[in-house]
Amino acid sequence: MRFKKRALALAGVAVAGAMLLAGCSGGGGTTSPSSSSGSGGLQPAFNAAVNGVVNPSTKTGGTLKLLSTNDCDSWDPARTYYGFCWNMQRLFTRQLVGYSKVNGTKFTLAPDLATGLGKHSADNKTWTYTLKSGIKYSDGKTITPADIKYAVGRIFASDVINGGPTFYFTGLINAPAGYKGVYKGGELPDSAVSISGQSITFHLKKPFADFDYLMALPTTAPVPDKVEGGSGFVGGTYTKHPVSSGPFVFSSYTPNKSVVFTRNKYWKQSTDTIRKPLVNEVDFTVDTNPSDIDQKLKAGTADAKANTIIGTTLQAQVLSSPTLKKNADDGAGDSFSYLAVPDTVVTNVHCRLAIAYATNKAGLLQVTGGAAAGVVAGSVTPPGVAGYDPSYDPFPTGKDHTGDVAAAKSELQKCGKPNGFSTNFAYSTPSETGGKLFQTEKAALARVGITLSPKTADGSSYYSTFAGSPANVKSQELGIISAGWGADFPTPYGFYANIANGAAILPTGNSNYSNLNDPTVNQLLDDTGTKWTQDRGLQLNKAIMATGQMLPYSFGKYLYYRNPRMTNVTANFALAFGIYDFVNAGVSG
Amino acid sequence: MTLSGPTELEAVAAEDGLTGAGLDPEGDQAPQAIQGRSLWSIAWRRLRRDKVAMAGGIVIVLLVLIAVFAPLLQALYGQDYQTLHQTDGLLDPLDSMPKGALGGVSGAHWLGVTPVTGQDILTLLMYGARTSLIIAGLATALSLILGVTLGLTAGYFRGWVDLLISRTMDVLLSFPTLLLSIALITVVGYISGAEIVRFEIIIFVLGFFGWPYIGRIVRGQVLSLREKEFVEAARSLGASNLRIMFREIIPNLIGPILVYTTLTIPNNMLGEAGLSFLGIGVIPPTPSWGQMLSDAGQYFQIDPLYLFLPGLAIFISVLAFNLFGDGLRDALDPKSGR
Amino acid sequence: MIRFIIYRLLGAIVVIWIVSVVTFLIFQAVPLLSHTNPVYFYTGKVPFKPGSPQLKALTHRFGFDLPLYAQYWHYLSGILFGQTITDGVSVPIKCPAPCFGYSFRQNELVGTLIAQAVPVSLSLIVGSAILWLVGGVSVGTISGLRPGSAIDRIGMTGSLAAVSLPIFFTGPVLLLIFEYTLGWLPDVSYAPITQNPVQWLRSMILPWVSLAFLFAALYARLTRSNMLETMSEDYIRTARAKGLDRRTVVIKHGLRAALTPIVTIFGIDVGTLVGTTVITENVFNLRGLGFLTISSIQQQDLPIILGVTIVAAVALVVANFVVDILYAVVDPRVTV
Repeated sequence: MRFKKRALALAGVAVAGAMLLAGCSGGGGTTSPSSSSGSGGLQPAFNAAVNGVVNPSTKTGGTLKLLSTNDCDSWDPARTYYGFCWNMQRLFTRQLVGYSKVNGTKFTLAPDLATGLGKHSADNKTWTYTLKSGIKYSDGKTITPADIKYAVGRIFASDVINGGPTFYFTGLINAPAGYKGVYKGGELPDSAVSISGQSITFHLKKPFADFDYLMALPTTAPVPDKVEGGSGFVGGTYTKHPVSSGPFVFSSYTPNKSVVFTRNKYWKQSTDTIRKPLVNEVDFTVDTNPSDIDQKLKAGTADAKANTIIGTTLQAQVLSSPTLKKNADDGAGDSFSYLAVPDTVVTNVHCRLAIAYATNKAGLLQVTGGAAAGVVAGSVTPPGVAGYDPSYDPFPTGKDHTGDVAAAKSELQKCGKPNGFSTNFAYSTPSETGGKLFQTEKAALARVGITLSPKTADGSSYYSTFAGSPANVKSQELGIISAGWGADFPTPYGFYANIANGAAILPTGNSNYSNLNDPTVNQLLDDTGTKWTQDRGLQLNKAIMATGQMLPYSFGKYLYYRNPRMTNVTANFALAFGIYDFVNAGVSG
Repeated sequence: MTLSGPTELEAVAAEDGLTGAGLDPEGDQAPQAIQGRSLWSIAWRRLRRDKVAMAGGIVIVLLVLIAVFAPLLQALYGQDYQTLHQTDGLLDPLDSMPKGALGGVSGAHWLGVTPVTGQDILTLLMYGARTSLIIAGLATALSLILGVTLGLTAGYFRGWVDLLISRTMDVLLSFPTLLLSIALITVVGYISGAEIVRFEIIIFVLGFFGWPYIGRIVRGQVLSLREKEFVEAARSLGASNLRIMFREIIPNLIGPILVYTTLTIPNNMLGEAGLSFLGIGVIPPTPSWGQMLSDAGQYFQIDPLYLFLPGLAIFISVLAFNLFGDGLRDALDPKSGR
Repeated sequence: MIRFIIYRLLGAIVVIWIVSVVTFLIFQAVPLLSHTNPVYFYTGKVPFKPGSPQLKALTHRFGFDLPLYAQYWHYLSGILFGQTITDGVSVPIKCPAPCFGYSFRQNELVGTLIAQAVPVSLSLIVGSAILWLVGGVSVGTISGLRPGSAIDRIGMTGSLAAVSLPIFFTGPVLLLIFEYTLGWLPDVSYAPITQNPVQWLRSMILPWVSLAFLFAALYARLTRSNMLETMSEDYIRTARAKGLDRRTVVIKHGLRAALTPIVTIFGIDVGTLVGTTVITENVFNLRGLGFLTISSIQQQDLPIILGVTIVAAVALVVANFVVDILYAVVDPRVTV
């Protein structure tokens, strides 16, 4: 999964920060018990919604007004991959499993459509869920296990259902080789997904201990068996009319303009333990001008920005004004920014470590937005994911994190290039930060004689065929690739499966930019049947750091602003980098 | 190429009905050496009297000097644009904005530093002038070479050669060139990804789509010049086509070409700045005024000076060229009463 | 005359055809030169191993397994006769002529996207065209009637200054002053004129001014020089000699003659602007054709780029065509 994809960053006026993709990390992988349970009522204060609930209320009614600089990549639950869209999916789709606690860094999984979390075989190869009975779609039809099976079968139709994190499922579920999905291949055979009464069983190709987390992704939300959204809304066009299983109905949609969510009269609070909707309506409006959004937030005419952090100007104003600041949150959104150093280009590990030591992490952090946008990272695993250890910093860059020139020079000696070397730095354009990251790294490495030249590609091809193609990386000698990542689900597997596993290296569209193919790392990641513990996570963290192919510099933080009239506000770090959990929010006045 | 706007060049071309800027071919200035020299000296005298044009000329000279001696000036001033003052106290660590009034204006950094990277703005502007002039100059040279050669060929040989070249110019002039240029730059940039190629492709695109303008002017002039007595005379003396073209006709085209050049350079400067503003021009670390403006767009509410500095740099430079070019045109125009 | 029109019409069609071929080839060349399956430029997301059945299915669905000329013909016939787009699963989408194809990234017909963008661009172009025509011609007339006067010098130097100001500088400065500092235009997000005319006006005022600024300068200079020329013509002198008052002479005779060439240039300028107001739309966040172009170029969303480029070419060619015909009507000496 790509973590940051720049929203069309070409407008002269401030384009707000990253458009955040997909889920997030946290939870310690060890399905940690909800620690800060309840987290009582909080008065508005800076960062109050990061861990707690601001303005708790049970008052119902009103309309929640959300603004976004862009529409979702898709409203089809199987095809969306933006974190903010996963947060929006919580309004109108339900899955077998969901998150009952989404704030802070320790999240709680809870059964949603199912009566309990998955029951698994001893080898973690079959997972069974029992569907609650009597749950209905917004059209009054009952949701059956066949609908979920159908939703899973849809995922295999990769020529139509694409864009979402479908590869987790297609790689794991025991479908026959060459199965083309429900449209051309018919129903999935029972050897893959079987149904009996209200229960549904998934048969996996290999043991997978994190399966509940997969079921908590929006990807397998029920889709009405065969009829989907009705005539004209099947397959590629389901995004225009997704059927609602959650408390809100996707009632009117104008692409790239607006969505209106109204209440679903068939949804019953008694069947739902993770949502407590308060408002009657949620309006999602696309406003392409980020400065306009900021103005409206400040004026109180909109409640929150739905897709990403607030703009540069509002950020500066919020941080310097106590009255604004108490309505803002800047939580650690457990993602990281790093420099990928492919071993196909910088072949000697000591040369890679020289880069690691010479890097000016404080400067790079400054470029990504300063202390409001992150903290300096010592190692790869971000806070929340099992294996995070703030004291672990194998290649320290000095007290102020501006680089350790002496250590870098001694690594260069060991590498046999005492006078340094030349390589290229890749970043995507247009981007507000890419060029500045390059300049910062160039200046930092110049201190030890390593010279950098820029190599760029435009945003879309950057990830697919430029940095995303190992052959291209090698031929263009992309020695350092600017990258960032956030987890699809909060376990080391959900974080690293695509970016660190040797088996995940693809000829194009590769996300393992570092070309990391280390036996220890592979073995840890391939052992999907074993649960993650802090120890195992740390082992993975250390193994990745030792390769010197992934040089982290920042764990991300995200600054949002909430309208003071919003009640019951909390941040959704489980799915959406701390964007507010709109399904549970209310409005006063 | 125009970036969503007309240009002074178009204004001139339109005013002169695209038949020829400057020297009037229908006039009686047969290019005997003596008369030619006196024509130029008349023009020079006229130009010198035009204070506005001369002011423009002085600014151009200053600009070129700054661009040429940027490294020296940078050394004298004691700052350079390559140094990033990110972690040495000039930027606010919380939000990366310059500390202090007016974007960090100080004794050391006369025009302040940039947000986020903390680069010295004065030196960035000096090197931005370099980028601007190099790209605009080379692109103009490319248009000139193509336009003069093809316009001369078309006008001199007429017939099917003329038909081919004229139709090509017609098609190019009615192309949505801006869209194609942007597309071309993106595509080539994608395939190679290297900085030097970006420079070349920008020059190529600006220069290539500009040649039909000068091509038309030259063709029109040549069509009438080739019928003049002195050309006939040269031909009857057995001069080759090449000799006639370069020795007899080209010298008569210098006036319009000169005017065209001074008015195309600012046009191309705006083109480069526009492309860089859109994020498809030159990329960091190469400084560019357009790139600075695009960057400043994110911060202009907090740090307005950063917006005004590169904006004024573009404005002043382009205006200087336009004023000088305008004055030059008037000075070379025998009809002009000024 | 009819021969002339037919000849021009053919020329216009040829130009549009060349534009379509060139644009098509430019973007076909990308995957070819970078050894990439073109599927990535359409969906941009799904990574499949080369030779895998999924990739083959996608390639086939987009028609990339056809020879180049067939792909081009498919595209061209879509524009001419319309086509039906299907992925074999969803209800086939009817795309009537002129069909510019389907953007799989946006899940939308290119025609629909263009149709959404056109009103925005037209609002911008028409509004600023009125501004610059009125402003430019007034300044030019005043200057032209008093050549060499202080007003003339200020007007002409001022117009050179205006031409030297890039929109990406004036735009943010105007925003800074009127939106953020004075707060006169607190919300400048675009609204269609049919829905909210007041908001529409509010969102358009700054873009109009910044775009019109450039053109007004050009028109002022043009009007001035035409005015100067016309006023020295014999028939004007005759009119003055007949004892007509100055105002009548200037307006009825002078301005009328001076404006004829302006109107023709006006036609071409308006045509040229369709699809090329990239910077203005960027600065002011207007989702018009220019914005659509650059965003789709960055995503290499081929069908949209082709569509917009062809629409822009058509606008330009039509403008040229109309102007040519008008010219021929006005001045019968013009022939092929």
